[in-house]
Amino acid sequence: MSIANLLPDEAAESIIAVDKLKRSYTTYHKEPGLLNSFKQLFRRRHKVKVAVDDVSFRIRRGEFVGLIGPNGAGKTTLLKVLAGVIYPTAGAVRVLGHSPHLRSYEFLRSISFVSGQRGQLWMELPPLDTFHLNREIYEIPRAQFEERVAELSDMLQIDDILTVQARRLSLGQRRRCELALALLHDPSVLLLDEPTIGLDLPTQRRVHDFLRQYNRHRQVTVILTSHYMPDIENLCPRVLFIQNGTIIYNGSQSGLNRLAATRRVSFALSSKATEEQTRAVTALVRRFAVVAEDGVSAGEDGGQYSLLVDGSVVRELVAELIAVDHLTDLRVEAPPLEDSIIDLFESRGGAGDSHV
Amino acid sequence: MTSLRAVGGLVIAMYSHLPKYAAAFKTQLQATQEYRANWLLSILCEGVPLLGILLFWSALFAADTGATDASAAGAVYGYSQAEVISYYIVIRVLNGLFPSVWWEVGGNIRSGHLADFLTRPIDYLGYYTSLMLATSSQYILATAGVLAVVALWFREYLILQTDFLSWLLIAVSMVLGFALSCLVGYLVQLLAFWFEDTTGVLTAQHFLVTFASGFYFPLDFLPGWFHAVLKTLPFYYPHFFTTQLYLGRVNFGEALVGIEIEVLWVAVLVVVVRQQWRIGLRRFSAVGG
Repeated sequence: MSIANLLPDEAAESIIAVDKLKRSYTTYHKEPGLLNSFKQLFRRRHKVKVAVDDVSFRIRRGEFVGLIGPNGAGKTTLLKVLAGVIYPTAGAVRVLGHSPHLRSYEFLRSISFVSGQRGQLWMELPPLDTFHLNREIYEIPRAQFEERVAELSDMLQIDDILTVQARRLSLGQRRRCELALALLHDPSVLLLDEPTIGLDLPTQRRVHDFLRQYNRHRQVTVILTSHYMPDIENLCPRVLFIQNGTIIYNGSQSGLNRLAATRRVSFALSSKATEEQTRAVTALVRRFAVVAEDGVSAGEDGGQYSLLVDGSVVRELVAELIAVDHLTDLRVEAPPLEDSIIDLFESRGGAGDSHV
Repeated sequence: MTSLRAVGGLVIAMYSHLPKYAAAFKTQLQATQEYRANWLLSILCEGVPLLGILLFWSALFAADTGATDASAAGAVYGYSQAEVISYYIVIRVLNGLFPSVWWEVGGNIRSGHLADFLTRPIDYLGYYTSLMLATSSQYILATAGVLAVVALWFREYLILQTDFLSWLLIAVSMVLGFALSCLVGYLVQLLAFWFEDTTGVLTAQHFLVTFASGFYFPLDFLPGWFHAVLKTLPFYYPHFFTTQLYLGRVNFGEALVGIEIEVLWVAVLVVVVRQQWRIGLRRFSAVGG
C-alpha cells in the first residue's frame, strides 16, 4: 500500500517527508504493593516502549490529512515529531526542508501547532493581548498583523470577544481565538491535535467550516489528529490510520470507508465435491471478491477458500454458498487488520467530548 | 573559555530578539495587575513578618542594654542595632526580588505543556526569565508602600548607603544575583526531564536557598568555618553578599573577590543549565494531549 502507487508525481512537491521514523520511550514498571515500592528504589525494571515504528509517508502542499487511530496508537507522538517538540529516535523527518527537532526560528515561524487540550491564551488577559505578544514573538509587521486579525476575526466571528478576559469566554469561543492566534503568522503547515475535543456540535461545525475554507483559501497544509470521525469525514480527503505505532492504512477517505465495510468470508470444500461444484464455487468467488490493493483478496489452498467481500453483498454470497453440497466451515468475519477501523466508524455520531 | 562564549552567545541572542522578551515582560506585568487581591496579600506577607522581626530585635537590643535609644545600644556579633534593622529590611527586599522556587517550569515539563512553548520562535528559558523579571517588578510596585511605612517606623536605625562606588557594586551584584537565582531555579526545575517527582529536591532547594542566603539571620553569626563553606556556594551571593555591600561591611578588595565568584558561578551555571536543557529535550516525551 505504498503511497507512491496512489500519488505518482507527489515526491517532487512533497513538503513533509518522513522516512522510517521511529520513536521509543523508556518507562519503568512496578508491581503493586509496598514491598515492591521499596524494591524499585534499588532496582528498576526498565522497559522500552516503541510509540512510532518504521513510519514513512509524504505529504504535498495544501493537503488536508487526518491522522487517526485508537488511543495510544502514536498519532500525537507523530504530530509532535513533525512539530519539532520531540526528537526522533531513528529515521529521517523533513518539514518544509527543515529537520523539525533542530527548531530553527525559520522553521518555527512557518508552522503552527495547536493542541485542543491546552491553550496558549493568557487566561488573565483578553485574547488581543496574547495576539500582540505573538506579534512580537513571530516578528509580524504591524500592518500585516492588523490585516490578519481583521481577516481571522471575521472568519471565526470573534470580533466582539477579542477584548474580553479569556477566563470569561466559553470553551468554544476560546478555541476559536486559539485558532486565530495560531494563524496570525500565516504558517504554511498547521498541526492540529484533537482540535474539536470537548466542543458542542454547532461549534464543531463552525470550526470544521473554518478549517476547510482556510485550507482551500490559503493552500496551507493541515495535519489533524482525531479519534472523532466527523472531524475526518468533514475535513480530510486523505487519511493515515495508525495502530500500535505503525501506519496500517494510507490513502483516501473513501478507500477507508470501503475497507471498513469489507468482510472476510472463508469456507472449506471437501474432496468429495464434484468438479462441477468446484467450478461453481470458483465462479462465485470471482463474482463476489473485491479487488484489494495488495491483490490477494481471494485464495484457495487445498480446499480452503478465503475472500474479501463488500459488506453489502455478504448476505447474497452466503445464501449461494449454503446451497452448495460438501461445503463446510463457512465463516464471515471482519478482517483483523481493520477491526479498529470499524470500531472507529461505529463510534461515530457521539458528541466530541465523549472521549475526553 | 567555553562558558564565556556560552554567556556571550546567550546575551547576543537575547539582545537581537529583545522585543520578544520585552513583550513577554509587558504581558506578564499586565496579567499580574488582574489580581488585585495580590496587593493586599503582599502587604500582609511582606509587611507583617518584617515588622515582627524588627520589633523582636529591637526588644533584644533593649533588654541587652536596658536602653531603647539607638546610641546606647550595644552590638550583637559585631552588628549594631542599626545594622541588624537595616539588614533585615534589605534582605527581605532582595528575597522578594530574586525568585527561588519556580514550580511552573518543572510543571510544564511534566504536564507536556512545554510543547506549546517549544513550537514558538522564542527561547523558553529566556522567555521565562522575562516573566520572572516582571514578577520582581510587580513585587517592587506592590510592596513599595508597606516597605516605606516600615522604613519610616524604624527610620532612626535605617542605614542609608550614600557612596556611589558602593551603589555601583550593589547594582552589579544585583544583576548577577538575579541571574544566579534564575539559574539555580532552572538547574532544579529541569530535573523534571529525568524525574517524575522533584518535590524533595525542591523542598531542599527552598530550605538551602533561604538559609544560605542569610534570610533568617546574618551568616556571620555562624562559626567561621561554617561561614567559609557557605561563601563557596552560589546561594550566598544574591542576597547576603549584596546586603553586606549595602551595609558597607566588606572592603573594596573583598567586594571584588565576591563579584568575581558571582561571575564565575553564573558562567558555570549557564553552561550546565544549557547542557541540561539540550540533553533534557532529547528525552522530552511531551506527554498528554
